[in-house]
Amino acid sequence: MSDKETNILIAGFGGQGVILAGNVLAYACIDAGKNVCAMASYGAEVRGGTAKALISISDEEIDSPIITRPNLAMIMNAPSYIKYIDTILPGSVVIINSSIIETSLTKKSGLDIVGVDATNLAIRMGNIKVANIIMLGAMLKKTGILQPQAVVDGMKRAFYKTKRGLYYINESAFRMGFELI
Amino acid sequence: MAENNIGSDSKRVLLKGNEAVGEAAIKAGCQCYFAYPITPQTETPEYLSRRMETENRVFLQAESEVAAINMVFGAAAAGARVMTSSSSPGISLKQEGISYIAGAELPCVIINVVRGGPGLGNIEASQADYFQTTRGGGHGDYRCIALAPNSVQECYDMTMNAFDLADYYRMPVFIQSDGIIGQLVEPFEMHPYKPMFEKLPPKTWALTGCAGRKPNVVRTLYMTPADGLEQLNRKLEQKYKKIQSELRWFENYNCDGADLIIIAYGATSRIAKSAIKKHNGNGKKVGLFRPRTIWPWPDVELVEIAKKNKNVKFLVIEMSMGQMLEDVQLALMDIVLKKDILFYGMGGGWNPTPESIYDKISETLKK
Repeated sequence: MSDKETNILIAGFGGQGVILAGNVLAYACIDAGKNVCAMASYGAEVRGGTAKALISISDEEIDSPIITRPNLAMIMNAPSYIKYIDTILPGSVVIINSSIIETSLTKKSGLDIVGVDATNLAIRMGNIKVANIIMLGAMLKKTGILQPQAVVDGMKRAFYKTKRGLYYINESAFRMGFELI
Repeated sequence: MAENNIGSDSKRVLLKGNEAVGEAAIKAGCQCYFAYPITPQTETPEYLSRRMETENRVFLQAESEVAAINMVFGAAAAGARVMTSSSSPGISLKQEGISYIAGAELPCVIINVVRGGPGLGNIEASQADYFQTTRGGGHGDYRCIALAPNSVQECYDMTMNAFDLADYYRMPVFIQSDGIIGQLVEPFEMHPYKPMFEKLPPKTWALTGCAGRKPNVVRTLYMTPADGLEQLNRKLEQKYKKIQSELRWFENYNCDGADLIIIAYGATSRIAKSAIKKHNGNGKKVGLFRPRTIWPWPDVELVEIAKKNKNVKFLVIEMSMGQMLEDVQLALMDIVLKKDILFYGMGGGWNPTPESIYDKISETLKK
């Protein structure tokens, strides 16, 4: 709730890597020496259902893990856009997946909405699943909340030991997203 | 996320609360873990299914919660460090076994990641098992120590402490977590096992094979007066009194000189702290008193604070219809009017938000 906190909402449908994107950010915060607190939706969520992750990043102690008004968002599908757009604080940056969210939906005033053609770019890269990391790259460039190297290190933590092949494609996806903005 | 952290050279490690509980059990030398999956605690068995195997210890997913707690009973009787975990409906199923373990004076650690009730309820975070945990829970006169973490670090530290306290006092020890704290991911220091006591009493009562010595008997059935069930109850009562005098953990944030003191534990305490930091109080001071043990309850400490602060009001916040509220009223009954102890809470998987607590603070200070 503190003004110094970046409270990030990541939302999409199950399978798009919403929780993973949140975890990568959380790992990145460890390397960047920042405090972080992440809560993901749990339980009845299934592939195709709605998933969300809420991540607070701060240089100070983070108290409430409950975020009701995010001040940064990354929205990956239309149902999540409709569901959450009104909860986002005015003036916030909102990165949307313009491949699958109709642009007619995104005329919301008071928000800095940035479209990223993430799903199409990911398909072109050969793996639709990296759309989340492309968007993450764009979000990082747009907001500067963390150094890109911290996120690359975060992805190393998230993939390198167990899924090394996935590390390389995700790193490329991140750099592509970063350079889009 | 577990496997990405093991062996990490960083002092700060990222885990879920439920996973940190599992790693702490490993570090504290938990030899056996018996449980049955249930949301929102399933990350603990998931984590331990891997870690217990690599450590060559016993991991067993039982056929039910009832079976799991009776396995705990058996392993505890054999002298092992043993743990089980579940969430509210599963903990209700375990109550018969917990009563037996308390009656037999055996040590074990029980994790309750509380969710909405009654009945199957829902899978959202709740604190509505407070009565059950702090009043024993099963049948008979007994108590369980209950530690209430509000961060991933505390999930880790308190689980280690729970094993020591269980062995020291020979009784079940609860970690009373909730759906928010269990699911929370945050960095914490994964330090080596830090024992609470220099030396723990040897488990001379354990069933370890009696060749060359008098057999030990572990039982909870005392049919005739001569068997001594009354004496057992007296002995337990003495033990509980001793614990009440020795173990009252709490956090005092800004309570000295406060006009309003919020009393909350677990996830609720963090949401409240956020609201307190944001609220300037319009010249009035707002503090937070957080019990870190919910049994025994830190009543002596709250009374001390209440005596120092004249005209202070109290606001108890819980994810329940008002359970800890009764312990606050009991603690303060001789020195604070009941009308000055206010309550804000709801059951059924509801949680307060920093904004709603902020508004409640404003409203209370105006009165």
